[in-house]
Amino acid sequence: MSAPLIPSITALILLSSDGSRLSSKYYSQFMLHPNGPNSPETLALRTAFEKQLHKKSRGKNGEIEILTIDSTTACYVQTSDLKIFLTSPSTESELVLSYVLEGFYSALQMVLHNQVDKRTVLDNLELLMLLIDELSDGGRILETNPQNLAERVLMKQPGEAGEGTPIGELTIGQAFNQIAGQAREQIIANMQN
Amino acid sequence: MSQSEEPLTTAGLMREITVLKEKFKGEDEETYSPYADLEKATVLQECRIFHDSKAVRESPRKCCTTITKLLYIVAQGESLTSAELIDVFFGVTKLFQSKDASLRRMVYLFIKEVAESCDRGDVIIVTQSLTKDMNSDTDLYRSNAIRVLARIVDAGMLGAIERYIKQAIVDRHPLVSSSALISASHFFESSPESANIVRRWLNEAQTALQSPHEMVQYHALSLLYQIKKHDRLGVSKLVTQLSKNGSLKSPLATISLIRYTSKLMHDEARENSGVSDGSSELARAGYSFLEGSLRHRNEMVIYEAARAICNLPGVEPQDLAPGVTVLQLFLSSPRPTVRYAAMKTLSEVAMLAPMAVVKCNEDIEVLISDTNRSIATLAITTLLKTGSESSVDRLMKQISSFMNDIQDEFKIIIVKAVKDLVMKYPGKQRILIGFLSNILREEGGFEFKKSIVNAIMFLMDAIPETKENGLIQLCEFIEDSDFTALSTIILHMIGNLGPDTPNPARYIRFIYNRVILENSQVRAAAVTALAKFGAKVPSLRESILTLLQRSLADEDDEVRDRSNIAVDVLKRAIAENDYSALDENGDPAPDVPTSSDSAAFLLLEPLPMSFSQLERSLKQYSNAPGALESAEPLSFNTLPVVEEVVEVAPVQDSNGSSNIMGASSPLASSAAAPPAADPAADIYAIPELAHLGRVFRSSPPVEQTESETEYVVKCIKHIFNEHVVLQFKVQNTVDSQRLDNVTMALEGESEILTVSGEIACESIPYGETGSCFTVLDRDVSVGIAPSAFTCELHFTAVGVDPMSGEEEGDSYEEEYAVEDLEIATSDFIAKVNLGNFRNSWEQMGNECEVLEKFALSFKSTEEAVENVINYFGMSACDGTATVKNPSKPHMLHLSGVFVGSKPVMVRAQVGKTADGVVLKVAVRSEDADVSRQVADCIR
Repeated sequence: MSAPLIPSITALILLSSDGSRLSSKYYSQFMLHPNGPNSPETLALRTAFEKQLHKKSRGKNGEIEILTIDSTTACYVQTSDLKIFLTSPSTESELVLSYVLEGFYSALQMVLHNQVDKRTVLDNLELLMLLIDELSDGGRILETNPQNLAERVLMKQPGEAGEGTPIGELTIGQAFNQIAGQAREQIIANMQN
Repeated sequence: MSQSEEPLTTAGLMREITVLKEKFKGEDEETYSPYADLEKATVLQECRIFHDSKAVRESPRKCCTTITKLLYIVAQGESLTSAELIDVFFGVTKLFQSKDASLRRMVYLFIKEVAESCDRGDVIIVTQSLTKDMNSDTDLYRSNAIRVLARIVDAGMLGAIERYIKQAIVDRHPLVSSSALISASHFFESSPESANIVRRWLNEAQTALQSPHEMVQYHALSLLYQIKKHDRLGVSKLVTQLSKNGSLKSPLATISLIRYTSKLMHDEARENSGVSDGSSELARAGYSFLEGSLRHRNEMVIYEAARAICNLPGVEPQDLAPGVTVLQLFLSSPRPTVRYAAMKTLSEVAMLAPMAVVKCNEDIEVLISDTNRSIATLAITTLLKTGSESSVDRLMKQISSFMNDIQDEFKIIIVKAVKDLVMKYPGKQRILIGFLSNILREEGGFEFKKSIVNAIMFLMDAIPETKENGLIQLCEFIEDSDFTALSTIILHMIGNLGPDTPNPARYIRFIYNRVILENSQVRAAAVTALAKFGAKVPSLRESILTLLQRSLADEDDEVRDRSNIAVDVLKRAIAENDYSALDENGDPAPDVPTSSDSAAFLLLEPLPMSFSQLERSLKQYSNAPGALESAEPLSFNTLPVVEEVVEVAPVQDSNGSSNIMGASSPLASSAAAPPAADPAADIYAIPELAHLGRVFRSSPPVEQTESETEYVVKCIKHIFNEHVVLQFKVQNTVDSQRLDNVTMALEGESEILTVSGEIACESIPYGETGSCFTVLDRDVSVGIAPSAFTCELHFTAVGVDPMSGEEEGDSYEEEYAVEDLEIATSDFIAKVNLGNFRNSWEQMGNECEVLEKFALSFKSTEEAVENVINYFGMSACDGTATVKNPSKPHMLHLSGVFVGSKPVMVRAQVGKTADGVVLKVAVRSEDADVSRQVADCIR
C-alpha cells in the first residue's frame, strides 16, 4: 500500500465525553453523500461516523492514541471531558497524523491557557474555529508548529498592526480570566444565598 | 474572548464586562454553553445586524459572535435553505466595511465555509473586496484573502490576479507565502485552464523552495511536484537534486521527497515489468537515499523511509533488512501511534516476505497484550503468518485467551488469518478448525459468526480432509444459532455435501431438529435439505418420507409447498425404482440413484441457466421486433442465448489518495452487478434491419484504431442466423471537423460472407460517437470458416469553427484506413454455461464427436489454457479455467451455443511437454459439421 503523494487529513472532530459533537470539520470528499454537504444524508453519515469514533476511543488523558474504522485511521487525544480526533485515509503515515494532532493540541492548550475542557472550548468557539482554519486548508497541512498556530489565532504576529502588546496582552488576558473567575464565584455565591 | 487585538481601553473593559454579565445571566438558567439551544430563526434574526452599518462599525465583537453562532449551528447539522444562505451571505459581505481585524477573519472563515454551497455567481461579488485585501499591508489579510480567493475564483479571473499571487508566493512572511502556495495547489486542481496559469509560477515556487521557513519549503515542494507530476525527467531531476544536497529542513518536505522517490522507483519497475534487478541508476540512487533517511533525526522521516523500503517492488532480503530493523526498534516505543505504524507495516511485509519479519517475532509476541487492541490484533495476525508450523499450538493457546476481550471486528481479522494458516499448514487443520468451532460457539455478532462460517465452508471446499469435521461442527452450530441467515446457508450446504459423506444418516437428526424447533425460513431450508438427502441416498428415502410428511400440515405456506413437492416426488420415485432389490449376484445395488431416477432429476438438477441469465434472456426476447406477437410457445429452447457477463475489474486510480481498502467478506461482496445493456438494441432500433430477425449474439467491441487517433473506431459483430451485421462505432476527436456520410468499405476474400448492404452514419460532430453498419449475407450451405477483411473508413470531412460549431471552410472526401477485421468461427459461438457439464456431455453422446490432437508452442499450461479458451470463444465450466497443478495435464471443460442454437461442448486436455504444449480435444454437438467447424477453431 503506497502512501498518498501529498500528506493530507480528512477530518478534525471534537466530541464531548458523552459523544456529542462540539465541532467538526470535514475536508474534501470525506464522509460526503452525493446529495451534497448540507444534505440530511451527509449529516447522518457523519453522525454515525462520530458515534463510531466515540465508541472505539479509550486511553489515558493527554496521550495520543490511535484507532481505525474501515479504511480510515484516526489519531485522538482525550482530556477530562472531551476528545479530539484527527482522521486520514489508512494509507497515510500514522506518524504524520499524530504529529499534526500534537501540533493542534499543543496550540489549543496555548490558546486556552491549558484549560482544554468542554466549557472553555465552548466559551472560545471562535478561537477554536480559527485554529482549525490555520491548521489546515482544504485537508492540506498548512501549519503544525504550535507556537506559530497560537500566535496566528491570537493575532500576535510580530510586525503587525497591534505590535507592542504581544506578551503584555496575554498577561492582561490571563488576569482578566482570573477576575472573571472571581466574579463568577461571587455571583454564584450570591445566587445561593 | 478577552484576547481581542484591540488595545485595552476603558471602553473595551466595559464591553468585556457587559459580555461577561451576559454570560453569567445565562448561568442563572443553568445554561451550560452559550451556544446550547440556539434556534436557527433566532440566529438568522441576529444576522440582520450586518445590514446596520453603525452597529457594524461600533460593535464588531457582536458581529463576530453572531458569525460564530451561525457557523456553530451549521456544524451541528442545521441546514440553511439556499434563500437563507444567500441572505446571510450578502449580509456578511457588508462587514467588509469594518476595519476590525477579528471580524475580518471571521468574515473570511464564513465565506470559505459557505462558498461551496452558494451559487458561484453570488459569491463572486466579494472578489473585489478580497483583491483589495490581497494588496493590504497586513500579512494576515493578504494570506487569508488569497486562501478565500482560491475557493471562488475561476480560470478567467485568475489571470487578472495572477501577478499578486506570484508576488505572494515569494513574500517574506511565511504565512503569506504558504497560503499562496497552498492556494496555487487548489487552483491547479480546480480546472485544466487554471492549471495552465499555475504552471507559469514555476520560478516563484523554485524561489520559495529556498525559504528558511520549514512550512514554506514543504508547500513549495508540493506545488513543484504537482506541476511536474507528468514530466518524469523533471521530477527525477528535482528529486535527485534535493536528495543529494540535503537542503530540506522541513520533515514534511523530506517525507514528501521520500514518497516521490519511491513513486519514481515503482514507476520504473512497472515499466520494466518486473525485470528490474535494482541495478539501474535511478534504483540505486533512490535506494541509497531511502537507506540514508533511516538515519534522519526525525522519527516521522525514519518511519517513512522504512515504510518506503518495505514497499519497494521486488525488494531483495538484504535491502529489506535495514527497514525491518528500524521498525523492530519502533515496536517498543512508548507511543501507541509509533507501535501501531511499525506493526502495521511489518504485517504488510509479512504477507509477502514472512521470513524477513521472523527476527521480530519476540518483540511482536510482547504486543499481543498491548492495551491498544488494534496493535494486538496486528501482532497476532502477523505472528500467524510468520510463525513456523511447530509454533501453531502455542500461538493458538495465546489467541484463545485473547479472543474474549476484543471487539468483533478484530475477531473477524483473526478468523481470516487462521483460515490462511490452515491453507498454509493443512497438517494442523484439526487444531485450527477446532479453534474456529470453539469461537463459533462463543458470544458474538452476526458478522463475526458469518466470517467463521465462511471460513469453515471455504476450507471444506479447499481441503477435502476438513469436510467431515467441518460439516459436523456446522451442524452443532445450527443447534443453537440465533441467526436465520446463517442457519439457512448451512442447511443448504449440508443438503449438498452431506449425502456424499460415508455416513449420510448421521446428519438427518440435525436437520430434522431444525424442522421441529425453528422459524419458518429455517424450516423451509431444512425441508429442502431433507429432500436432497432423499433424492441422493435411495436407502434413506422411506425414513425421510416419514419425516417430511409431518411438515405437510406446517402453518407456513412455503414450508408446506416444499414438503408437498418433496413428498410427492419421493413417493413416485420409490414406486418407479426399487433400490432394495438384489442384483443377479445377490449383492445389494449401490446406494446411489440411477441416471433415470426422477427424484434425483427433479430435486437435484439446477435450472439450465442462472436466474440472472433467465431474466436477461427474457428481456432480450421481448426486445426483438415482433417477438411478443410470435405464435411460437416460450420455452428454454426458444429463448435467446445470453452469454456470461464478463466482469470488468474496476480501474484503480494510481494516485493513492483515493485508495479504498476492500475488506468485504465473500458473502457480502455478491452485490448486484449493474444490469448489462443489450448490445443488440442499436440494431433493433433500425427499421431497415428488422427483417433479419433476432440477433444471436453480439461480440464485445473490437478496437480498430489506437485509442488516441483522430478517429477512434470500434467494431461490434452482431451475428444473425443467416447474416452478420458489423456495427462500426466511430468517435470524432477533431474539434475543427464534422464527419458526414460515414461508411466503412470492406474488402476481402471470404467463402461464406458477402457484403449485401450498408447504412451510413449521417453526421458525427466533434466529441461524439456515431455508428455505421455493414450487412453481410452468410452462405448457409457451406460450413463456417474464418474470414478477414481490410477496412477503410469513408466520409466527408466538413470544416467547422471549433468554438461555435458553425460550418467554416472546405469540405472534402476523406479515406482513413483502420485495422483489418477478422470474423472467426468463435464469433459464431455464444459463451453459455450449459449447466452440469458431465451430465450434458453424457447425454450428448459421441455420435457426432470429433477428436483432434495439436502441438502448440506455449511456454506454460496456464498460458495455453487461457488461449485455448479464447480460440473457442466458449465458457469454461466447473472452474476448469484455472490451472490447479501446472505440472499435471489439465482438463478443460468448455460449453457454448453455436449459431442456430446448437449446443456445443468441448473437453480439452492440456499437457506440458519439453518444447511446448500438447492439446487433445474432443468436441461434441448434435451435428457432425458443427463439431468439425468448432474443432477447426484451433490454429
